[in-house]
Amino acid sequence: MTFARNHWYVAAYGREIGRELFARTILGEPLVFYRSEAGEVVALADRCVHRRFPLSASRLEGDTIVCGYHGFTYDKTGSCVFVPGQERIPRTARVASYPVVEQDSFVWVWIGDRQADPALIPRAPWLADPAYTTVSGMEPLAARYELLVDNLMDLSHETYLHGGYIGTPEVANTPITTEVDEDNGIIYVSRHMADAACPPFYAKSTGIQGRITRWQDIEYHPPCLYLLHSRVAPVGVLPEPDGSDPHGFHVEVVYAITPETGHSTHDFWAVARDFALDDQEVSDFLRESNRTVVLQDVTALDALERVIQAEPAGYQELSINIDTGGLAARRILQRMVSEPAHTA
Amino acid sequence: MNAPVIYRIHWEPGSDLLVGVCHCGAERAADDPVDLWTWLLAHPEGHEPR
Repeated sequence: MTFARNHWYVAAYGREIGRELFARTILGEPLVFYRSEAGEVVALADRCVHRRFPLSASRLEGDTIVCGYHGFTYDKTGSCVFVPGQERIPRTARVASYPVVEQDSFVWVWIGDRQADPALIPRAPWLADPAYTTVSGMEPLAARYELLVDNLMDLSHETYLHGGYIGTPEVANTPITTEVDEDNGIIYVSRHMADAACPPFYAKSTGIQGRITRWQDIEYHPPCLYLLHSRVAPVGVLPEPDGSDPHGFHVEVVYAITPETGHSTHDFWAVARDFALDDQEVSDFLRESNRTVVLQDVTALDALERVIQAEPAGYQELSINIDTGGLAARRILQRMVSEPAHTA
Repeated sequence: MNAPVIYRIHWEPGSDLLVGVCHCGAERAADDPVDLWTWLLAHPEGHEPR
């Protein structure tokens, strides 16, 4: 498996976790989630220590899970507090519990054996900011997460895969700049289009008629969080000298890239905007449009996964200028995957 | 405090040329991003400050 352990990953939206047991596999580890009576999210290994029965197929009783097979009962920490038919609870009767933080509408889970530091969780503050309106979803991807990283780091594919939604000829035709902040492990890719066609995604949501100035500023915090700061405005309209931008439309496109297995990925997507905040039609349109775009990617990446699994070892792919950012992301991910499990 | 380690690659507008800029100030032009990253990450080997 080529996972970067000892990192925070988005496991779910907060709204997905309630008083029902919720199963999701993260980095190959089956987990069960629930919300305690006090409202905190709990994450435990989804396998009874006794005979492996999935705890997610069991019953939540107060803040404990009662295994649906033989009644082994676990508290929020994963400790077994009851076994059937006997008083003695074996010392090893516990399941792993996972550190969890709810932030920016996401449930983040720490996968690893090092100490979890919540300060390391990258932020996507727009998703829980009343100054923005957000639509979001998650699509399962039958492809390895690296393919989604490649996809998102090179937006020139919008022109070809997402024409009629977010792609126009200018995206693929405009040079990018790439920057890697080694100290903080962040990759930036920027594409600023001075005079571009306005794709339906932005024309219908902003009401702009005619050509636009369109900026795409990617900020990838590997392994999990991808931010696309998107700014559109009527052509030639730029931010003010003081940095304010009253005539620009800002869309924060957020992806959380969470490996499920070595060959499948949870593709979380969210679109936050700072305009038409109360316009339900705009929300419905952006939700449907972005979901369509994500599903176009899903179809393409699922096909790539099948191709990769069928090809002989050692296939040599080709990289060109548009891949500069994706190559940088691959390198940092590879470094994270290679990090030893324990600190010295 | 050490200077931040930041690598940059610009794509020269109107051309197929990429220009890599190392945190040490060294620059190199190339038309292949794989070659350019290899050179950048080899710092300080082959890097002559401007």
